[in-house]
Amino acid sequence: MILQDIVRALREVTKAEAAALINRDGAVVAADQLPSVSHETFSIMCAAILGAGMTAMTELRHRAPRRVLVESEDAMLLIQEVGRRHMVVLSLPPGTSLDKLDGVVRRFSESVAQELP
Amino acid sequence: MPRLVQISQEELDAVRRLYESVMSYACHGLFFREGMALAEQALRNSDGTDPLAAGKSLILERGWADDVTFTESGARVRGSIESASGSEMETCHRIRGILSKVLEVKAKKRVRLQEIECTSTGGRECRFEPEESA
Repeated sequence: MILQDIVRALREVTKAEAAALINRDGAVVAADQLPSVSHETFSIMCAAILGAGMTAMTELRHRAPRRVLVESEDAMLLIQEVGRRHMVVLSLPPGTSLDKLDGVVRRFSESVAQELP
Repeated sequence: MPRLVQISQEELDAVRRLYESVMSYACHGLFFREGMALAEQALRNSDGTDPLAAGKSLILERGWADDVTFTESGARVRGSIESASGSEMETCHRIRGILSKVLEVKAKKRVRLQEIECTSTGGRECRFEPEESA
């Protein structure tokens, strides 16, 4: 299964509006249904949000976060680490249960780890 | 005649470390995009010059590096100003952006280079090759 298929499967299972696998520099590795915004700008923003979250937590002498959640009235953006060099981004309906997502994202991470160099 | 500003290698390195301290590795993507923007501007002003020649000219005349050699699929750079000895990872993100853009225009298809060897991490030179996923 190639990365594009894995990302599409994740989006479908989670009922996400869009899904993307991004590396920590903010480059898109694979994406499904990302709206017609600049993918590169969007992906750098997501990497920056997670990166800034890590910095903020470590400044407070806490451990780096595994994920960042951005919520608005009509959507929820989940940015979660996948291994040490990548992250997954999911645009989800508001109120999506994170508990239910945990297992799915964990399996996604395992599948992605087998495909990445 | 456009106005220019000079910035030293040490200052450039301090800027990189500042951004890394705020937004971690994500700033590398921004630096890369900066490089692409610089190349776009240079190509716009190049009056039809070969994109690789225009890119090389930008890199050498503006002092980004001492020499650039384009290879079959990527490029090799000597004396990158973005080099910072003792770094844990590659640091020549803007040059990577410049080279990606000029190769992209030359090839008329999307090109995203990765730095596979860097003097910052002990390499003899900086070498750039296309990303597998690009």
